[in-house]
Amino acid sequence: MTGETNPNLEATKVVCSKCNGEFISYLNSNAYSIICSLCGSISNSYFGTLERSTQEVRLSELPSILPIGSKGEIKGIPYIVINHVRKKENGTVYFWDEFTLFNPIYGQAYLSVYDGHWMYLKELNAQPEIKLRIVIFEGEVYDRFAKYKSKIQAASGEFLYDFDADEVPLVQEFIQPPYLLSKETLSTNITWFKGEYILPDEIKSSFKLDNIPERKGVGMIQPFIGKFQKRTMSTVSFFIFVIWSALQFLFYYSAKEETVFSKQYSINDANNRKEIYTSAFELSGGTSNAEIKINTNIDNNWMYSAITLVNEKTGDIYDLDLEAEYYHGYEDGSTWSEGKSWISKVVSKVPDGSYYLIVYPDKPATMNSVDLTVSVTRNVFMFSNGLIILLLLALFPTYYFFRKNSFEQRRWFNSNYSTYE
Amino acid sequence: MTNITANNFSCPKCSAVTELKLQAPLVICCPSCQETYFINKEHKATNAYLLKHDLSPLKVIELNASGEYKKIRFTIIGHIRSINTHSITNEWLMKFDNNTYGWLIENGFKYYIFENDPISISANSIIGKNVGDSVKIKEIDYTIYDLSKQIKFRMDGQIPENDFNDGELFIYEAIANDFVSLTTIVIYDKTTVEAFKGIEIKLTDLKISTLANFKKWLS
Repeated sequence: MTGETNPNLEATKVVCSKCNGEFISYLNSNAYSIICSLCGSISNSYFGTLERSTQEVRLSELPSILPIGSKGEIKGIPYIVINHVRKKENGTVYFWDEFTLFNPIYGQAYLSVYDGHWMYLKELNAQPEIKLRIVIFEGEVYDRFAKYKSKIQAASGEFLYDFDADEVPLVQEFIQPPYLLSKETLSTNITWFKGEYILPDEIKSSFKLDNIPERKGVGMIQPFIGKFQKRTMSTVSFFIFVIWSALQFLFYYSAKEETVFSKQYSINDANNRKEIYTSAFELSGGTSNAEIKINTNIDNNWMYSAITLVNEKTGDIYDLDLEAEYYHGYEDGSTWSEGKSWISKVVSKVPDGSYYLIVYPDKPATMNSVDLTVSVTRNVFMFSNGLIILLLLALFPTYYFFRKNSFEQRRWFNSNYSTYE
Repeated sequence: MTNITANNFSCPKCSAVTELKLQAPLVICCPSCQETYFINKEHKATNAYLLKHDLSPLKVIELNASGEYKKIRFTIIGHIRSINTHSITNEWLMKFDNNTYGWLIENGFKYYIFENDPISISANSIIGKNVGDSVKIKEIDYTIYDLSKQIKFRMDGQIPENDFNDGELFIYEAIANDFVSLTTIVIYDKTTVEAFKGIEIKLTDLKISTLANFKKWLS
């Protein structure tokens, strides 16, 4: 081993005490353990001399994903890859790859890749409390996703700690995508890690890799849409509703409603089913809507009127059928009612001009006469228009929540703690 | 011949003269020949027979480096490199301009500041505890998260004699519920247990002069 200062962590050659082969070291005596890349023997190097350990690890099963010695930047911190460990869930066939990233100022971080999904992890200076199936940390609730024992399948490189190929830590994972909390428990050590999902392209470009594993399925902490979180969507939905409410309020108070015509007619057998021509009235203020309303004194009865709004100058007409029905009674000890004695309809986009109405009333034969009031109001506030806007605005959030639900089902498919059926 | 004046130490082996930065009793490693000596209150030097070693090829922190903590300037005057059963710890003795001391500690390239004054605690309150257990020190509850044993010890520069412990010590690391306050509990023997309080820090906050060599690694 060399004892020279190596602030840029340049590769130095080291001679393996077992196979006498030369392999590369970046940390020298700053490493606790070094695995010979030629024979897989594990040595302790902390005082600058390789002291051979009795353990060995397999090297042949390590795929070339992120080579040791690669340099790249994550979250603005420059790193060098110092080791590669392939782990598996004990008793299963599930395996993943872990890489230790090293920076002499900011310490260690880790990259973990499973099915092409990458996580960037850092050790936490904290021991959060597990409450049944959740962990609350930094104000966020993390849900339990997995609990298993991990086993080392193959490894290579340098380690700042004593590398024990036989250790089988208990791992508990809690997720709040795109974040993860992981607790690793050994008899002499409890370590918590916080992980964050990293897009594969970020790894590829940062470490200048030609190829990286393709993503399969949904990753454990893969965010649904990039880094768009559920909370963000809820916030967006809330603001959409607030903006919509504010606009409705504004439109309601800015609408200049004006009743431009109103007249009461007494409809009896003599004038029933005969056209009534009203006097002319002006619609002004620019093209806008006009509400035509009939109000009656019917009681347990109906009143129908066919109304035509006619532009005196152009002859343009707008036809409406208005039927008011109002019934009520007492039955089985309680009162009931249905309908109302008045009805209105709104004609939209009516230009300015002089108009009159042709009213064709049709009263029921059981009533001798009906008091029929016909009125026209310009510029009425339309709540239904606002409702349509709201429905349109709600389309994306609704789509988002349905898609997200399907996405979450696929995410939790690999978990023993899924709440999805 | 050992020649110690009030402020200087002359190495019995190579005769190099070193300025003493601590009051005796202390342990000094000759910067010239790396031989280590105990110096007692009477300024008598005896060889500690500690193995020589280049303690830190990376030299992120070096002897005589300066820095600033809580707006007080300090100089690194001593270095302990302790190998325990599963990691390496470097402890750097900081001498502040106001003549107080503290420890800048690196473990796994995470950095901490620990107080120099130990808190004596009852051995019964800690011996037999496991990771995950709680321990109360000065009314603060800590959770133990790491147990280890020191297996090798090296030093450089100057350190107080009390901090020279080359035996097999048991070390418990624990963290308070605020996730900020840390304590290292050292079990020297069945009756002597001491705790040291500390916090994790960002190395860049200390403005250590040697970081100039590591510009490439700064974000």
